[in-house]
Amino acid sequence: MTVPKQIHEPLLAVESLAVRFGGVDGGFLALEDVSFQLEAGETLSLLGESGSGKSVTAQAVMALLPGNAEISGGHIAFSGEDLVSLPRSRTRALCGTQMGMIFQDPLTALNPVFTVGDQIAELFQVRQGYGRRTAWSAAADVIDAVGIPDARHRLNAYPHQFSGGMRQRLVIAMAIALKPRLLIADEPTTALDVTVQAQIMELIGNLQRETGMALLLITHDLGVVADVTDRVAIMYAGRIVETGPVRVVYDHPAHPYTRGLMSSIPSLDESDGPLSTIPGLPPNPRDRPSGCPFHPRCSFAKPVCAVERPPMRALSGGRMAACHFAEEVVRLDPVS
Amino acid sequence: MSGYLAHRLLSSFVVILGAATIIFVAIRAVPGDPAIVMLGPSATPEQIAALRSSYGLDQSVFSQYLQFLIRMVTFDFGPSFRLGMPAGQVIANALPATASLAFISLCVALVAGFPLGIVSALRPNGWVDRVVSIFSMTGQALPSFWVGIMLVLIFSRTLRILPSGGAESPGAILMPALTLALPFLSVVVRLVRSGLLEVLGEGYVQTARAKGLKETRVVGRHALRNMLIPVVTIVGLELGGLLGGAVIVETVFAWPGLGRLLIDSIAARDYSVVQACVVVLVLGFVLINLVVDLLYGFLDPRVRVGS
Repeated sequence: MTVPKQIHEPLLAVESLAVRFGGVDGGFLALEDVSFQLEAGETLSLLGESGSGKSVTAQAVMALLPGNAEISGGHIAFSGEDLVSLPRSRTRALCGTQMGMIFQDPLTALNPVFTVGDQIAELFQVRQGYGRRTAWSAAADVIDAVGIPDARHRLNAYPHQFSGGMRQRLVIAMAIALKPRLLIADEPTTALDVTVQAQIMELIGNLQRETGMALLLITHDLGVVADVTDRVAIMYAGRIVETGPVRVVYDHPAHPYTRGLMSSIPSLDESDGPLSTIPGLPPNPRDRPSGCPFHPRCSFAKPVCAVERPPMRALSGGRMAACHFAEEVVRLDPVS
Repeated sequence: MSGYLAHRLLSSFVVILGAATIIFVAIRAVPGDPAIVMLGPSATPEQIAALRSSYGLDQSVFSQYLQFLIRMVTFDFGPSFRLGMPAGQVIANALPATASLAFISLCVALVAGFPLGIVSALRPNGWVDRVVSIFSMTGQALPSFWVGIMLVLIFSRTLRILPSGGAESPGAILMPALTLALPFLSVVVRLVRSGLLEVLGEGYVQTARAKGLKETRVVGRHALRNMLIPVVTIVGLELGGLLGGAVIVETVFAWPGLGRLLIDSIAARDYSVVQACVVVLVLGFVLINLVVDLLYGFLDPRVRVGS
């Protein structure tokens, strides 16, 4: 029997991605067996602690991995084309036009020695072949679109003349200037004041609605995820441990780690209780535990967890989780 | 901006005045009277006294000092005891030789140093980087008088293709310029390498890549311009050192520039020329630093005042 050729093709399909960081001590795997898909116009959040591999995933997709890192396995298909097998220069050509990226720290993401107009117009001049005048006028339109007042006049200013929130708007302007189909936002609000965070997320949401681009949001902020995301993927120790629709995952986590994350959100009406935390620390990537990497910190762990690594399994509600006892974890009372 | 400039000019003035004072005292602290050095051991006391008074050396040190300062303002350094013409004229004759030597060394160091540093930084610990770093460390460690003598042995004695000294033949500048350039080149290579490596790790370089710009543009435009900021500062400081290094190199190669003039004049206790030489060298140093500061403001919009 022949398998019917798949007609539907997701915008971004990451499959069994592995990324290795080299080093004198033999290096380590920053990502292992990471798989997820992102449809056009959809929002997926990668959620996890620092060092869980969220940013490395984004860098792998954008071909921005540092020099000592390499993709050691798996595929990254962008609208059907496998980026892993492409030379870096071809993937680079997709950056900007097809994929845009917003970085964590807007204070360092802009080049201090060029005017912002110069930096945004460069996209139109170099990538689209616009003349200088039309490129600058297009740049003015873009920074107008990200809500910077007096756009035309501000083009001649340097990055240091803007506030943090305004600089992040400029970074967003550069990421979306050429109307990419995929926007990757790597902790876009982490470095900003709380009051500005909401504005930036709202801006990203609005732009996404207007342009219909897909959004891969990398964050450790559970609240941000709940507000803007369709689906969420929880990462732990370089792997995805649970993925599914946000509401399902939030209300009934199937992985003990997800459950730990959810219960670590401080709740206003339980102000007298101690803050709930996950015991222990994330494992050293050079020395990950055997079996399920979460088992030393897991309150549900059984002997099998130390021996056998749980595969990702499909569960009810359109989600997947990598836990031997996922069904039992789901049946527990909802977290807070 | 004008306040900044006034401040800079004032501090430059203090530096020049300080250097002039130190050299005025130092050269007089060296044993040996100019008149005795010049006339030789057979001179009579009357001859010596006559010469001393004709050069004003019989006046008090303080009045000599005042006169030196007052004349200095108009670039009048008094007559050279040794050469019988105005010291300013002696300096003006020697200056082009040193300036061309310094200029060629600067060009060699920059033209060779930038590409080598960039290539090293693009593939850190690659074979190019390893070879270049060995050469640049050696280049910095070797004393220039030794390098000069080795070059003379190779190119003048053995191969007989370049003159060992003087400035008569057109190829004569090659060896002194290379000798002077070598330590400077080494500094430039290492500065460019480390500066670029640091800048390549910056967020805006990632941004430029995420914009889909080609790597040549990312490095050549976004990284290089930022890397220049620290490099220009230190190149400016080192250029001052180049003037000092010229003293040794010019002596080794008998190059008729300021450096050799300074050494010869010290030996002859030619006070006016020694003073003039030092003042001119310090002035050059101050001017270079002023240019560097202005360049710095041009390169880095964050330090531009009043914008």
